[in-house]
Amino acid sequence: MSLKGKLSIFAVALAICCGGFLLLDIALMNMQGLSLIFEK
Amino acid sequence: MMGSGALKTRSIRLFLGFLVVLLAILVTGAADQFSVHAQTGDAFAETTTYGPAPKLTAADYPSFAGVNARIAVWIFAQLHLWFAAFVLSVPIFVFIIEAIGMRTRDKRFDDMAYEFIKISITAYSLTAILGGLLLFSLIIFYPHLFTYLSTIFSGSMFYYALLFFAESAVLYLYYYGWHWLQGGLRKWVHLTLGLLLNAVGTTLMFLANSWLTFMMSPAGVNAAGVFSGDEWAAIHNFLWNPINIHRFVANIAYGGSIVGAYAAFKFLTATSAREKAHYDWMGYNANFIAICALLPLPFAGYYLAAEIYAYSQQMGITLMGGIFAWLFIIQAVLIGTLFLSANYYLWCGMGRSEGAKRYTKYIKYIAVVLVAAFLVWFTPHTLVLTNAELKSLGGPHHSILGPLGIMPAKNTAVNVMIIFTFLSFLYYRRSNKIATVSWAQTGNILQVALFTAGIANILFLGIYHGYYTNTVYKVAASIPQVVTTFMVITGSLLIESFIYRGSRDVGPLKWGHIPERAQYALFLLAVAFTWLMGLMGYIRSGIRQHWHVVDIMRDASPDAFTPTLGYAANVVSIAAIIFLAMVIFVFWIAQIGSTRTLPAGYWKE
Amino acid sequence: MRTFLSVVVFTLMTIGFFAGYSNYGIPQIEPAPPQTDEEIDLSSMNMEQFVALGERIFSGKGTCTLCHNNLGRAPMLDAIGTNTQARLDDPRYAGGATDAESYLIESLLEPSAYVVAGFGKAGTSDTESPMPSTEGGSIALSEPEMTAVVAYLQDNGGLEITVEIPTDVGSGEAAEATEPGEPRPAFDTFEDLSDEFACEACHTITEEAGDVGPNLAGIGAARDRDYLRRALLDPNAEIAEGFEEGLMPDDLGKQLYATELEIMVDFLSQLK
Repeated sequence: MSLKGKLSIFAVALAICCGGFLLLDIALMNMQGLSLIFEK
Repeated sequence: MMGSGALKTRSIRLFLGFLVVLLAILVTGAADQFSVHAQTGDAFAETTTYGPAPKLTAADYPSFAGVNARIAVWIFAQLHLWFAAFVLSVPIFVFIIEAIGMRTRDKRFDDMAYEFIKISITAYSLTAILGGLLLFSLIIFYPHLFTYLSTIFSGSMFYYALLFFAESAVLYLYYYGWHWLQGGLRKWVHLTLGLLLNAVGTTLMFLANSWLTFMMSPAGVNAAGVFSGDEWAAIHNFLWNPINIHRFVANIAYGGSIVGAYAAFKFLTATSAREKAHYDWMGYNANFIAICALLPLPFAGYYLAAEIYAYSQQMGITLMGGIFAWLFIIQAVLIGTLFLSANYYLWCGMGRSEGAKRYTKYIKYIAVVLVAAFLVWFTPHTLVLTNAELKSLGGPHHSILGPLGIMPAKNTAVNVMIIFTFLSFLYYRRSNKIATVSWAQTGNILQVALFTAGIANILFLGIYHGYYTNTVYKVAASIPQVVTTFMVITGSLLIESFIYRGSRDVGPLKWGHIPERAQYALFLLAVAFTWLMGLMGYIRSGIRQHWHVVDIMRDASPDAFTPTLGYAANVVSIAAIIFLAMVIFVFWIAQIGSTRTLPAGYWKE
Repeated sequence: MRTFLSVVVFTLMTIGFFAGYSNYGIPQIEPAPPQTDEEIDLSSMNMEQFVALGERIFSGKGTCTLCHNNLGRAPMLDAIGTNTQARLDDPRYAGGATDAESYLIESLLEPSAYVVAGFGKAGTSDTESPMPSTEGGSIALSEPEMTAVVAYLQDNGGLEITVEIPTDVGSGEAAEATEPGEPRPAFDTFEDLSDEFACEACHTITEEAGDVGPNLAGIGAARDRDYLRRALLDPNAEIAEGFEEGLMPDDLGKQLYATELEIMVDFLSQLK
């Protein structure tokens, strides 16, 4: 597999995983009655 | 051999039937007893008035010359706890190993399981002896406290004592019947006995846990200490389940480390290559057990601390932000030691496979990350400074390094350590395998993406919430961090299992092919674990400060003072040395049991 | 046997390392001994002393400073002068207090009556306070003690002190406050006193240190003993040129023993 091919797979997979984790973060913070980003 | 085939089957059926009936009696009987007790408890409360917790003075504490009551109880309790942790954990992994042996029909597993239970058998009676010693010293030196507690916990203490009949019966059947209950249905019976042993042992631990958590977070009593009569309320007090979970998981890790030390010693003193190979394999398995339980352990501990905070913010803050805060820096050093030793052992073990050469180049990066995480973990928040230092720093905390001392940074560090330890383990497992699926490279890329995203997420949560938010957010951010770690571990295990489906082995693993210094990593694991448990035992007891039962029964004894950390560390060290000496005795006894001396000319012809 | 001995030595060295680190690698903090009650005669107190008593309780028996500090766990109490009215006017306020004094008492007895936004227990939307009631449990402040704390809070927060020093203490017991054990031992060198009272945080005395207050390196030549004594006891009576008033603690006189005051004056007067 070419380097470009590997990088594109990596980029897509990374984006999906990061998105997934972000959703997870928001869900878990919301469950505790808080938002992800701090608001006074 | 028993009689004819028909008789044999009938005897087995009879035996099974007996077991089922016994189980039924135990379960329903116990439940019955508890409910009857609860009812009687209510009736009891109507007719029997419980008094308030006694207000004691120094004169109420008996003493005799030469014995410091507080240190005696402390050491007996800690010794009892170490042994109890050991004897509760061994049946857990012996059960699992026996089950694996039954599944794979690989006799080596069965033999190893038997060896684990054999070396620990003396430990059971030592646990009981130390429990008796603890009980006697509580009655002698803290009679009023013990009377108060035993009035409230009369039911559970009585059944606790009775339960030891069940524990002994099952243990002896399990151990002595190991080679008798072999093959077919008998093996299932034997496995069930192992399960029963675990059930009884866990119940014993849960009962005892309720007494000590009651002392920290009393329930079922009013503010003056008057018991309501509801023992179940007193048992399932606020901190009961957090301690149950923490101790259950910690025991497994601990037991693994102790048998690992045994295997390490036997490896170093092995005389044949076969023996070396056997004990190397045993050591690997012990380390594996310890790591498996070590990974979730920080969260069990965190949950316990969070529940302490939820119960009483004062207790929580004294624990982590007050006089006990520095103790957790010592804890950080110890946990760092544990993680580094466990990893080091894994790295050394990679030499057992030729295929490991592909992965050894990554080890140094894992080591760097682990050490960095350890340094973060070990950084304190508040420093003791002179005036000049205060002025140049601009306050008691450093503006950038200060936040490394609070929880978001600590959580980030431990999550990273756990993920990288898991990574070490992945490399170890991969070292002897060659993937045969066509998409292996893509699979690897997926793994890298998963790890990268997970670590980035953990870092984001730790850095953003650590530097830019308030306390409530900081604490809350730990939840997504731990779930991220859990997802990375389960996700990558899943992907691994697919990548290595139908994989080829590079070659047979060269058991025994490991440097001697790796065995010292196993010793370090056992010793550090022991010392850490001693330290945590001190914290748990010390956080009550000058209360026997927090907010309800004051400790008026002359030794009620909370000692300095150095003092506590010294007591823990002495106790640890005594314990390790006793453990050596336990292992030695197991050995001489199978040693035969043939004295020439001694016996008559 | 050799292996056994090397394992034993390794174990002892490891334990020795942990014990050594715990004894020498970290600060040995001596936890305060369990508090003993002290009897205090309120009838001979003036308001200033009563406020000081409140402050002692605030920092001691009340354990208030455990959370009410700048680490963000609880609201800072030095701004109650400006905040109290806002709290009472908040539509969320559902307690029974009508003025600052009753609000403060209510906060001591029923912390959850009103929870300042952002400080409630996680997940309770600021309806439950993590603060324990000061009446019970291990804090157990008596009514006179709470009154003293309120007096201190009002004074410290810039409010008018509206409480009165209790004369009738209910069941006839003398009001109690607690102090840790015996009075502190007296310091006998200027160095110890300077460390204890953090003089060099603001003053340069024998070496380059603070510059918030005047440089005292030659103060013995510039000022006489009476001036030095007054500067320590009543610092705001005369402020050196170019420096602000109100920065130097004005209660040193209440904290220093007489012998210690003289040690300081002696030392400073020989700095020429």
